[in-house]
Amino acid sequence: MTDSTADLPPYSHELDWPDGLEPYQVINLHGTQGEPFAHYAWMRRNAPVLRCATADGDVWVFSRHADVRWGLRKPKLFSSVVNQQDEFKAILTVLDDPDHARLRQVIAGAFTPKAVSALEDRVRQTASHYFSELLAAGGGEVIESFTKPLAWTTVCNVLDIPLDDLDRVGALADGMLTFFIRVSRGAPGNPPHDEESFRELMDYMRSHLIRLHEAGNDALVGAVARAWLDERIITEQEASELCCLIFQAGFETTARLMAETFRYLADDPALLVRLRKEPEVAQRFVEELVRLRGPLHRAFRRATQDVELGGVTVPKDALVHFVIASASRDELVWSDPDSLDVDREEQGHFGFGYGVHGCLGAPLARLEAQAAAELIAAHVAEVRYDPDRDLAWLQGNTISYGPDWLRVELLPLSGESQGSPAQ
Amino acid sequence: MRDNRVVIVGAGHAGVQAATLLAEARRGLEITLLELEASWPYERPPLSKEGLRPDAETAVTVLHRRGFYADQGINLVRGAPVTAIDRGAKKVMLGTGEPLPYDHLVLATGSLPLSLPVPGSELEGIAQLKTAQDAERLRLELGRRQRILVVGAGYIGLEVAAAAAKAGAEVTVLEHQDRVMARVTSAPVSRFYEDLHRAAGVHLQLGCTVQSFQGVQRVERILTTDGQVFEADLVVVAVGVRPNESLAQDAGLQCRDGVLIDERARTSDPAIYAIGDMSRLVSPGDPHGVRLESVQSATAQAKAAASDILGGGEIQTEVPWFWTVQHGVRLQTAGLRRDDDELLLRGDPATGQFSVLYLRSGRLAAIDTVGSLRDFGPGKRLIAAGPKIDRSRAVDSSIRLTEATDGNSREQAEGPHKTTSTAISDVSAVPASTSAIRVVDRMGAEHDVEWEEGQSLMEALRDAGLPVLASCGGTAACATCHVHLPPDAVEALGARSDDELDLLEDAEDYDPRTSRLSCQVPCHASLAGVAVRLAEEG
Repeated sequence: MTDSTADLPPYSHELDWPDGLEPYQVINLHGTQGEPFAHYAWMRRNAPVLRCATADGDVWVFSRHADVRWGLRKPKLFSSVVNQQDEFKAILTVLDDPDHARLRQVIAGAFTPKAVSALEDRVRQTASHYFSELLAAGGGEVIESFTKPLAWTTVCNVLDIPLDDLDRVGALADGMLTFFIRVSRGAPGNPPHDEESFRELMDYMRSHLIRLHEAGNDALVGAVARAWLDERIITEQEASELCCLIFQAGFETTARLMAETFRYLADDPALLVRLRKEPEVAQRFVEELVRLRGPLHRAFRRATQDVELGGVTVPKDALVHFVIASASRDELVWSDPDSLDVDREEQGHFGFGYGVHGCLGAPLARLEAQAAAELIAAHVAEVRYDPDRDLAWLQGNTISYGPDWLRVELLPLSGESQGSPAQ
Repeated sequence: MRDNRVVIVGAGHAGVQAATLLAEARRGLEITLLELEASWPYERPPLSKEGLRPDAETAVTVLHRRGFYADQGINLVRGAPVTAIDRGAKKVMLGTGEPLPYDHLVLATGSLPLSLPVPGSELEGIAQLKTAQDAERLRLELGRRQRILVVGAGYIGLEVAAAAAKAGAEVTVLEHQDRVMARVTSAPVSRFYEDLHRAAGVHLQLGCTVQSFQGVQRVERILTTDGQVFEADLVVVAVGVRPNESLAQDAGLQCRDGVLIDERARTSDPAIYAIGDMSRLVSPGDPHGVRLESVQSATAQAKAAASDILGGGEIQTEVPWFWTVQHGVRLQTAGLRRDDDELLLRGDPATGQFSVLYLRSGRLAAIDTVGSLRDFGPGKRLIAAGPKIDRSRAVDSSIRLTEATDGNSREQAEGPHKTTSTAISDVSAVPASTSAIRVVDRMGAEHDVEWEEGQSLMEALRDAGLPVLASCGGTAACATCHVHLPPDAVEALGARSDDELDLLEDAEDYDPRTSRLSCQVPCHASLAGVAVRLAEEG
């Protein structure tokens, strides 16, 4: 016992954190980790493996690129089934193969680069529609008025959900996320309302599946329905849950990410000018944005056996967090890692995850974010916001990071006829 | 007069589906769903399949979460036997003695397993499989008993035999027909499954009839009419079912091995419907009618009954279909075969994947697909549409089944010029740098895939719609795009990176001579025409 204790990594709360940094904790209840990049930088230097004591036991936190990369390549050593729970059967992030592969295969065809390119015109039209309203108003809160409607409309398009149902489904999906985080990640949640929302959303998706199956839908929902009703390779619950998952995953992270577009272009007016002159830079801009601000910071795993990693032995059954948002800023891989540099040569960030659980919707998220960036560049002379007054970070009770809300002022390009940006 | 009280007796697939459809119509119906069993309504097909696996936590998969019925306004009463129907007063009598009035009554009481009327059938240790409780009990027994005898080689008997063999028991199946599944399929399919069972160590005794069960209190052996003796620790009798129609018979509804119904699921009493295993659909053209035991048929009849209660609407006839899984190999059937159908074999049973087509007057009447669902959807569509089948094309599994109709062959025969010119224009439409490769998927089906320069092999496979997950997006960070190439092609491509080897060596289907991650294989002139096989997952 004493021998092995010597090799145990330190507890976060026992470490001597510098002034201004509260000890890192896995649930950001106090709002001190809305933007935890200073924590990560300190952890990479001083405690690349640490433990956080939680009510459910120790969580082993890895923050260096090399360790995160190694761990995420080994799904057999690090299982994604971190909690024993009976509520969710088809949320891909908490499943291992073969279930993960079986379910992912049902929906993967809808998110390949080729399939997503067929959506490009619709996404650009939708983006243009909401953006012109925001621009006509001289700016506003970007998540509610632009990024969320864009992401919602797009995911409704993918799922063939009538736009009239959007507000109801959107509200239920918010509740579902809260419930999921409560059940799977131990956050407080909002019982019993979060669970009720999830049930109601499941019933909605079930009816939606049956309706579209009968209508012979040949898009994504039709494929899920056929896998359930005809091929019987997935269950009813899995079918409904896959639809819930796609809806939820389709807007939450993308909407947060796109909000960051405005912030970076406000902070770096020269980049805005460059994007206007060289639209092809938008692609690299988005990639850097995902590296720096991908809204999911951690991959949650459980060790299936004793594993040596980062100079320690992670015991079997230990809960492990691989901090992908830290790995994507590791000084050992990226020069000047905290700055957004569209000309940088280093590649291979983990903003969309890494390994077998890589983000399925990445091509669609990239497309939406690029459309947003190109619209701003094409129609806005200057983006302004006051970080103290116009911005609040998400905190607590969630697994994503990023702006909770962000208000901006948009100065249109001279000669721009307000409210009607060209396609 | 009230018209909104619906009582449904039986909460299997049919009853629950009818209740759900009626509730979803939101027409203010008072829906009462009565179930004899105390459990929450559950799925039947898994009971004899996944439900019997020793590592299963439970044999039962519920049809809906518990709160569903209340949320939908369905009054589900479990553990509620119905003792009689008073058609004059439009009431059903509950086991408690209470009457329950109805305006529309839907009977969905399913079927009951047949038992063997031979001496000794009352002994302990003779099991049947019908309910969730039966399955739970059987699952525990399978792990404990050494010698298991299954009587009856239909779907259920063979599924149980497969589960028992997997649980490590010594299994013998006794069947009085000369082949397995003789009622539901043809000889080639029977032979294939017989081989499969034998390879898994199951003993098959065909053409052999049970004379008696023997034992002191508990069954110890079976005697057959030809004098054989089979020792047993456990016997499972799976010799078919009969419709559970006594309630309907007692009420004077017309029955003949099933409650007689029309295409709207109406019985001889206009206020009463019968759906699922217990019903027999008759029509003026088919007075003998047909009684089916399948989820698909139960669900279709539930739809018909619900639509009639809700005031009509067109009834869509569906092609019936069925499936079984034995030793991991799926047999899925569409349509209803007859012994006098003409048989066409499509594909080679030796590969583990083939189909049998059943032709009647030159049209597809039914299809059995084994080990692969590739022909299932197309087959079902052809059965519904009813075109004449071109036999020579239908047996060629490299031709898609939907293109094996007579019309297609005529077009081909009459228009060689047209075919040629199409081919030429196709070629000219594709960039010169494209090469065509031949891909065999995990079901054994072959595909021609175009591979454009600049694409990785993974991208070409994925764009062709093949099941290549490529979860990591092509970064050599997972093994979901694992393929096999000919050894000389692998050699010509040069060394694999450490990252790639790292993942391949961890993959189940790794072969050092042939394995590659397709995302790491660039398009190259030397690979034109190469044969690619998708690796097994995991």
